[in-house]
Amino acid sequence: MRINVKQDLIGGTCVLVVGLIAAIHTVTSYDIGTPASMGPGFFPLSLGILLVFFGFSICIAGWRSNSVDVVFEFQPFLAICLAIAAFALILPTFGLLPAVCILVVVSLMAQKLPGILKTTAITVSIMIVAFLIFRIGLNIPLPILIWPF
Amino acid sequence: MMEHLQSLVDGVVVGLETAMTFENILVCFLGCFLGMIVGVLPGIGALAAISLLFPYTFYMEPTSALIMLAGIYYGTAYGGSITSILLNLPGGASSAVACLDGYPMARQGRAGVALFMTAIASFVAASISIIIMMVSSPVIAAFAVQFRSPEFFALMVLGLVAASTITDGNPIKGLAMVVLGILMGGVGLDMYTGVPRMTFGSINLFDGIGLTALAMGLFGVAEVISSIKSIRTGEVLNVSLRSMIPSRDDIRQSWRPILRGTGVGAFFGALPGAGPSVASFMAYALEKNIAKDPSRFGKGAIEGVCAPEAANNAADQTGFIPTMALGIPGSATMGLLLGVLLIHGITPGPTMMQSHPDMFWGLVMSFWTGNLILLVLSIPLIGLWIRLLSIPYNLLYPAIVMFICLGAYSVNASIFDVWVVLAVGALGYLLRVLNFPVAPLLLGFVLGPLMEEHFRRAMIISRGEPMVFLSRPVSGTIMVLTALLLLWVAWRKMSRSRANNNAESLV
Repeated sequence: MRINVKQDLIGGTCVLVVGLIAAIHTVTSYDIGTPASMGPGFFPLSLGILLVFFGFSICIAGWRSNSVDVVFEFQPFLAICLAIAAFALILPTFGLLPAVCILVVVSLMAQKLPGILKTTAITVSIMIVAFLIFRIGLNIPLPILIWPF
Repeated sequence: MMEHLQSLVDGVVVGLETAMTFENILVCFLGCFLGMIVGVLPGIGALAAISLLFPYTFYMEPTSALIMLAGIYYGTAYGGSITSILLNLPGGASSAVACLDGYPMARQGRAGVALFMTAIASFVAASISIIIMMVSSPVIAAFAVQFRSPEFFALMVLGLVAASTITDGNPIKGLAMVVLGILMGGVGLDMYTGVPRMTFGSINLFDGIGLTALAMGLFGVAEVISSIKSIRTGEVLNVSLRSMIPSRDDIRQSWRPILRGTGVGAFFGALPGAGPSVASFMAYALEKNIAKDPSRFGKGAIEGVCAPEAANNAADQTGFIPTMALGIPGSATMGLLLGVLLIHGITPGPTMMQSHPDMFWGLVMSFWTGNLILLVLSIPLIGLWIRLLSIPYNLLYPAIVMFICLGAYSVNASIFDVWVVLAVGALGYLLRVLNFPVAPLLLGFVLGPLMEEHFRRAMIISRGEPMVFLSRPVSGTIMVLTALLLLWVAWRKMSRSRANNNAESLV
């Protein structure tokens, strides 16, 4: 996905918003204290305020600059995020090998899928490597395969 | 003077004892080998590799962990030049300059010579820098032992400001990233009051966001997402051992650039904020400016390959000086190495050399072993790397994602960490898309809690008097330096935008 926007305007706004959220959350939830006897909120509040300033300044720079092409690769982004999420969901229920398997397959969907033979080859070899390194090499107590039914 | 010499000799002895154990030589080899692989492969840099291997180092002694990760770090400088020369693709940021003259040399059939001379340049530069480090670190540490909280806070501020503003682009974006990193580092239980901060009710966050998960997400996941569509490996020409032998002319033209590159690299490497990439660019610019015939550059001038490669290796070695002697990391990668030490319960800095001399000197001596190993890997075993470069990236990245996920899980046997990797990875990718520098975020994250501790302690001791940072001579000087740096960066940015405006108005 390619859009032509004033990149820093968006970035600056994000920073500004994060700073505001941090500052407001800190002021309302934690004791700020005085410089001589600082509460837990003092440092984060100062940081939040700094971020608001920075965000504002970046916005101004962005507003005055020209628009640029911003590229957001949707397919790789979604594929990798979904792959990791799937891994996190499958691992506790089904164990190491199924989790790795689904991780690899979904990751490969970030680009045009190689043929079924190549996909299987890649998946199986990565599953073997994972097994060798994590189970045999590092001896992590992780179930390889659980059948919950 | 004599005690320094004596303690240097003592240090060398302790260091050799530590570095020459079978385990440490093995991990050094492993680190260098992995570093070469990572350096050769475009798309993964030292930072990503160290992030990925971070959790596996928990099973080792801290010294061994440090030796291995350091091996990866300077190993990438050796490997990166191979890809730059053979494929015109930088293997890593600091090797990008080698493309300019290295690739033309390859096209002219002189790839072997280019590869050979870069390896030699890297080795010579690293050796000289290691000596510099051996001599200067104890001196710096002895001076810094008197530092207290105000000095450490000031030094960290300087380091962070330098690291985030020296790069290209809007320095405020770098500063914003540092502050964001510090904020993220503050998640968890407050050190003085025990109040959970920004944990949003999740017990898992009481210990804060894990450094491993953050590093892997930010540099591993985000890097993979951005690289999938863009990295191309594949067709590589073969290089015979015979073709690597340089001619007398080559040597004559190269030895001075190598020494100059070493000097530039050693200087910029020790500065927080600058690093191997800056050093390699500066070395190239220097060579081009003082060359008798600058037009040769860009067309296969051997100085254009040797000097930057010498510079980036020199910078890699001297980059350890501020981290080890002062506890101030000069770059995100150093920040990560600092994080490794912190997790093992060791605070790098002036006291580390006294309390853990075996760790410091063991590390320094391992640099010698490492560079020797890398020299062997780079020259006789060059065929190995050429074969590696023929694997297409789109088969490699699922393995990388697997390492990330399992590695993150294995730190605490916690699925929560995997979710953190996901969240941080998505954030990291968004930051890249919006053109924010990501490395300062990691630096802020690692240094943030330390900074806050020093800040609060300084304020407690001074009873709320903020002028304490300026009234003490050392911290005052450092704060003034920071202010000057900020002014210089602002001036540079304004003059650059004025130049851009002028250029636009001419069009």
